Amino acid sequence: MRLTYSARKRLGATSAGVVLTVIALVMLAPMAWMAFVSTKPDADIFSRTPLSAPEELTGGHYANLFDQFHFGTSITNSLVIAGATVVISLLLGGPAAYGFARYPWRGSGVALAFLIVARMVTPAALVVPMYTIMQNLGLLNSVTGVIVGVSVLNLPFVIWILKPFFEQVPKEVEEAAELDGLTPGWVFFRIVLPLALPGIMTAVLYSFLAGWTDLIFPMTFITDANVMPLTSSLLQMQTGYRIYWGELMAGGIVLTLPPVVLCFALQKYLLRGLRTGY
Amino acid sequence: MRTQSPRRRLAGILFTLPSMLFVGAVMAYPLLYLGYMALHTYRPLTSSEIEPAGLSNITALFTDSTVTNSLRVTLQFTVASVVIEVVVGTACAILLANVMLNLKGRFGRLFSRVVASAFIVPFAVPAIAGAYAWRMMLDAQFGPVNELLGTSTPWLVEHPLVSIIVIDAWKMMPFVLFVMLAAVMSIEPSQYEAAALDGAGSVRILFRITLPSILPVMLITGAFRAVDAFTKVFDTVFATTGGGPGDDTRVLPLVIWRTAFTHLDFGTASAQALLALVISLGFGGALLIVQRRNR
Repeated sequence: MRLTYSARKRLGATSAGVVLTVIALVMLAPMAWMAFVSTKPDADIFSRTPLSAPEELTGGHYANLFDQFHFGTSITNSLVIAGATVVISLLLGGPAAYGFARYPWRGSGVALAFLIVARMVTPAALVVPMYTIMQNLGLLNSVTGVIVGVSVLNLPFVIWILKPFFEQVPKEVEEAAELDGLTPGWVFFRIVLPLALPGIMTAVLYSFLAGWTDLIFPMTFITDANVMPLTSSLLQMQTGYRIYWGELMAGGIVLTLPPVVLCFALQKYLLRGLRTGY
Repeated sequence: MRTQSPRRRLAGILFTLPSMLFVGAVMAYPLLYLGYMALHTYRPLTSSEIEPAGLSNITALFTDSTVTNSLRVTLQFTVASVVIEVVVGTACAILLANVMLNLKGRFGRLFSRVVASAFIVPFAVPAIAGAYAWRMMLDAQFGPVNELLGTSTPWLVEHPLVSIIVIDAWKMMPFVLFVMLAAVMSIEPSQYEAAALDGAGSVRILFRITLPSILPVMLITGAFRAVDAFTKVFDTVFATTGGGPGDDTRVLPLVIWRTAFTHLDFGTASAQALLALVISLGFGGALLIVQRRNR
């Protein structure tokens, strides 16, 4: 049987759609599993037929998060770390990206190369000397050390993301503003920033994700449960004796929901960042 | 071209200076300190003294089986997961582009949006949460994977490295997918039509048009993913196998962290960290130079 060109195309696209649907379900499975287990009573979690639906659902694991595992303060700490990472990364990275894009000076190429290479530093390698330094500064068991560590690893990435956005702003706009007597600083704040808003949104999203999801800095610097963010709080549910699986999956959902919602809402910026940032 | 006035040069330096100072203070200083520590012995459990050790920590790297083993494991992990991510990610990107180009109408558009959103999820899930979810899913007794397959395999014990690779591929494949999707979508549709008019089948179009045009993006994405995978594999391993069983999944970042914070041997850990830095910065730097040359 011979099919017409357009019928063949539609058949191909339909089979592509079937394959993609299967893979997409695999992509969603871990989060779906987390949600499912988090609402199961313990007896059903440790059953030999884990896929069958439990007779009743429970919110008990979520309640335990707040009663036993201080999740209230952990959520606050995570927000503080992520928020501060956003502020520091943009306050420092925004002007720097603009400077590299518009005011190259001798040696700025080398400086930029160093900043990019700094992105490739192993976090585990940075955390070892930083631990001793933070200890000497008395900054262990505080979110400050974590914020500083996450920000310094995130900053090069922000500069890398923002630079092309600033380069796309038409030069004429800036020159006109300069002729009107605005200093370079004002041109940046009043003219360029609003025009590069998509870039700023992209940088905000990625910086928030960096701060919210980081594990290695808090798990190394913070031993006091009241200072821990969500990521290292999760580790507390795995003790030498048992793993609190129900609470762990419920906590996983609490940790996962904000970034997923944010990535959906800012999907456009997320994808743009993927293309320019990496 | 405008001449570089002193005023503009000053502006350039002022814009970039805060960042440079911050990175200098918070990254360069610790890394110099790391170099210092690598030349000393510091084991706070036995003594609070930092004693000079010469090059002994560095030379010990080459005979320490923990280190040589971790290099092998990290390399195996990096190569396997990046190859899977690039191959599957590119394949999915081509399939998704096919759907987007050929299934027009409201249903087609809705379908590709829903599928794209599903692929965003692993990327958004924090690594530590994803790792624990997978650890449960792969459990021998109460894991759904075994129930579906009708087996009771303790995956993380019997196939630890493969499991870690699968988890990483799940998380990072979507990243490759979206980068490759942009590359595929930027191919001119007229190229496909011309080939189809010449009677070329879809396999031929794939190998003659699609793959050659996206190959450069594929290679560069894979190379950057490799640097990333090599340097940042930590959360997933820590939460699933913890490096075991035995040494099977002891990747380099995990070895560094454990040497410092479990064994409290900061001199040795610093030497290991230095090795990791040399590898990743060497490879990453070379990559940047190659990329700049080809531009």
